[in-house]
Amino acid sequence: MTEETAAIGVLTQVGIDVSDLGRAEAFYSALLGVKRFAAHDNYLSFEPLQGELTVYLQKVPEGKTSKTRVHLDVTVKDMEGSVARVEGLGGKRLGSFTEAGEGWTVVADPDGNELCLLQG
Amino acid sequence: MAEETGAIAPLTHVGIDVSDLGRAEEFYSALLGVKRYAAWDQYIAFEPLTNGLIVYLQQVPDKKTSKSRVHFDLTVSDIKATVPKVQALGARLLVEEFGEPTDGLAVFADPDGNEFCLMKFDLDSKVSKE
Repeated sequence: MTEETAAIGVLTQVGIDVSDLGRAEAFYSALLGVKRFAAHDNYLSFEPLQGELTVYLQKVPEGKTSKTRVHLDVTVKDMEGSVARVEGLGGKRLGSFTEAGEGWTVVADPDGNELCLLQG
Repeated sequence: MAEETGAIAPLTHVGIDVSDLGRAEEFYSALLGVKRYAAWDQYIAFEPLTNGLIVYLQQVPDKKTSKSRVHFDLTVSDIKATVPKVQALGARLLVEEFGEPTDGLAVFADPDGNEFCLMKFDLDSKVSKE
């Protein structure tokens, strides 16, 4: 197909529910290498990542009760070193997998939200 | 702070759990304006978005049982005009509000119930108001 596909909207932000904004800020700031851009009410946003993409945290009263069905993947060069750093930040290793030659490790952030480290 | 922040890892992908790959591909392809890049096993990946992010779908046997705790927002120029287009794709409108603190916000559930938002959101003006 060569025709232009018109997006209905541009994906510009990813929001993550957390119970403790300070703890989550420390985790995601180090993981993604971004600093706080703004904080207001229950929200804390980081400076934009590459392109037009902003990650923000929102403090919510309810706890996590089931698997995250929309999740983030980050790409790493050194898997074991990265997992160790994630654990040092309060994350937890959940499992490592290989499929079709691709390797990844599932980790949980301090709130239990699952994300994957992909072998880059 | 002036020092360089060393990222452990750049954010490169967002994965979405779905129950029907074909239905979800049609939905997200139209919503995000991207075509399929690759499909294998229970996965479909779209071509990268303009910011480099790759969205992919993964078919899972389990159903959604609670609110998504990680979600994405789409920026649109006209919320009111966009809402019916998203509904026509099979999304369910959950919340629609206009006025402060956002300039317009609509919360939808995709055909699998995964929540996402449409925003007309000028972050610069928001920050300058504080």
